[in-house]
Amino acid sequence: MKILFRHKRGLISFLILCGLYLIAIFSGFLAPYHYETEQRLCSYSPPTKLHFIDSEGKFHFKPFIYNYSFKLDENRRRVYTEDKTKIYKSNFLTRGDKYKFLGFIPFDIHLFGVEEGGRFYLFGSDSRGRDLFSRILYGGRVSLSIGVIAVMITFSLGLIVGGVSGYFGGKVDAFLMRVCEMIMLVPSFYLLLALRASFPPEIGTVKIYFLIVIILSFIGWASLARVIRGIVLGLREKEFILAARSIGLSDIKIIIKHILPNTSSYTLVAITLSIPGYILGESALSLLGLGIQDPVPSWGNLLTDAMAIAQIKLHPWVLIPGFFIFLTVIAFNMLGDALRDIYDPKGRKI
Amino acid sequence: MKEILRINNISKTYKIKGAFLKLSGFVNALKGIFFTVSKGETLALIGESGSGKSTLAFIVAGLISPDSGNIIYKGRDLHALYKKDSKIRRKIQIIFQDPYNTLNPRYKVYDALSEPVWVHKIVSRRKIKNEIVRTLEMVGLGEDYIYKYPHELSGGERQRIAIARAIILKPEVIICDEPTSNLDLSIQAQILNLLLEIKKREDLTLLFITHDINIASFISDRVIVLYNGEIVEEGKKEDIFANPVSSYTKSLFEASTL
Repeated sequence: MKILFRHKRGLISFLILCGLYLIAIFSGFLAPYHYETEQRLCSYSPPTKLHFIDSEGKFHFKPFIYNYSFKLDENRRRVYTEDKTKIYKSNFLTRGDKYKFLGFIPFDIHLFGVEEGGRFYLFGSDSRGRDLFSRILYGGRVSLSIGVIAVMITFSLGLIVGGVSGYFGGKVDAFLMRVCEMIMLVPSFYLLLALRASFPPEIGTVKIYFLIVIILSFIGWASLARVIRGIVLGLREKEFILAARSIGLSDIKIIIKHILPNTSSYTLVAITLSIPGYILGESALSLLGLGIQDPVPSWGNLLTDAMAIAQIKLHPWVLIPGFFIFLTVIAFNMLGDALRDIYDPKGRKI
Repeated sequence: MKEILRINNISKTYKIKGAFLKLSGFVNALKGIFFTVSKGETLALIGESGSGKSTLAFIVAGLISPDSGNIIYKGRDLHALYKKDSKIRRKIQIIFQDPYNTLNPRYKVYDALSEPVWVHKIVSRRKIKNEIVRTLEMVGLGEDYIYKYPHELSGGERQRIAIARAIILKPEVIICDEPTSNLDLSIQAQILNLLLEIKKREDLTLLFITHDINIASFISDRVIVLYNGEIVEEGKKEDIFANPVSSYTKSLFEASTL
């Protein structure tokens, strides 16, 4: 941990990730609107501009906004212009949509917002006039947590199977490794789709969430188990393991207390490097409409809007969720690289 | 003297795996070894690498099982006892060759030494620390070593911890699998003296495995020479060193005096 603070790239990516997770945890408070709040009149409204100087040239200490009004052009597309007749002042800690703070405390105070009647879209809005900024913050809850939970399941499974397989060897090893190979044999994305297809398409959001977690971890554990097995195979012959056996420790205790802790430097790096894979997996499923279902946002299903080129041309802000995915993935990869540098005894030049 | 261990016709064969499911051959590591160990003696097993001496050590310690034959410990089959009740393991302990691998790198000295104590419930929880300090003193280390990690210790110190880990169980037999071969000469002597001292104090039986004639002559009462998995020479130290019978032993002595 201390060394991480001396590793510049590692520290930066670590802080970025901390920031993203904090944002996801406090999404209800940070987001000005609830993710379901619609304004049908503001479909694909562009990002709202913050103003300090009003039309009369007067300076306002607190930024304010104008609402957008639209006219239809010759293609019956909405063209939004600022309606400068009324000023809506922004404010910190305003009352707004009800939400549950940290998931269980009912609350209605938001970090910032505008006066009653104003419509504040920091990142623009989607087809139904829902605030993209709020939806991205809420979407982070799904996208960021799914990676961590899936990784935890994958790693407990992979560590147990790999540990047992490597430690006992022989027939147990051969059997478990063939099972792993069978799972690894199928290209993972098709396996992902096939597994998803084997469940009903319309089920509750919570169920879908856990279904995706389970599917993602089911695909991931096999390759991990193989690597862990390789490490354990090397550790098994170490004399401190033999010493533990000659003391009379049971096999299970040896695996848990001596073998698995000694794989941790690899495991920690592998965990960090594999989380982005799960985030991307969830995004891919949601993008195809097989993952988290609207209205609940995830970064993947927010990007569904950006699938058509025309949309990107007319409403470029629908790509913003992609930027968040990009940021998370790159931060995890950089953190993993940093951890690998730290744990690699040959490369301790940080 | 009372017999404590009888190595009864032990054989062990290793399979060599060739390419794809083919068996390319066998290595006969041990071919029907028979000898006895009396209580309180130091028996040196001498042999070159590949002579099967480490395999024998691992079999006696119960880390691998023999293909045929058995080991009789005080009149009972040792490997049957190992299977039935792991508590018997405390009676026979082993010290390994490589001081850099003999301790778990993630365990402090305290953890490494407390583990055998709680596995066998030798003393109550509150007395564990006292017991560890007492044992550390026996191997010539102070109390300040308790919270050190293996990477903070020298090879000789690690080997002392390994000895402490073995004797904290108050065993009757200690198998030493070349415990000094990876150490500096000066430290070798310290460790050997320490082993002899502990042996005398705790009334131990030592089964000392080595490839070094000089160490064997220094430490042992009786010597067995292994060659290619067979015993080629057995007898009292004085007899063998004065008058070796087999040609292999003779060549071994000639090589060592160079």
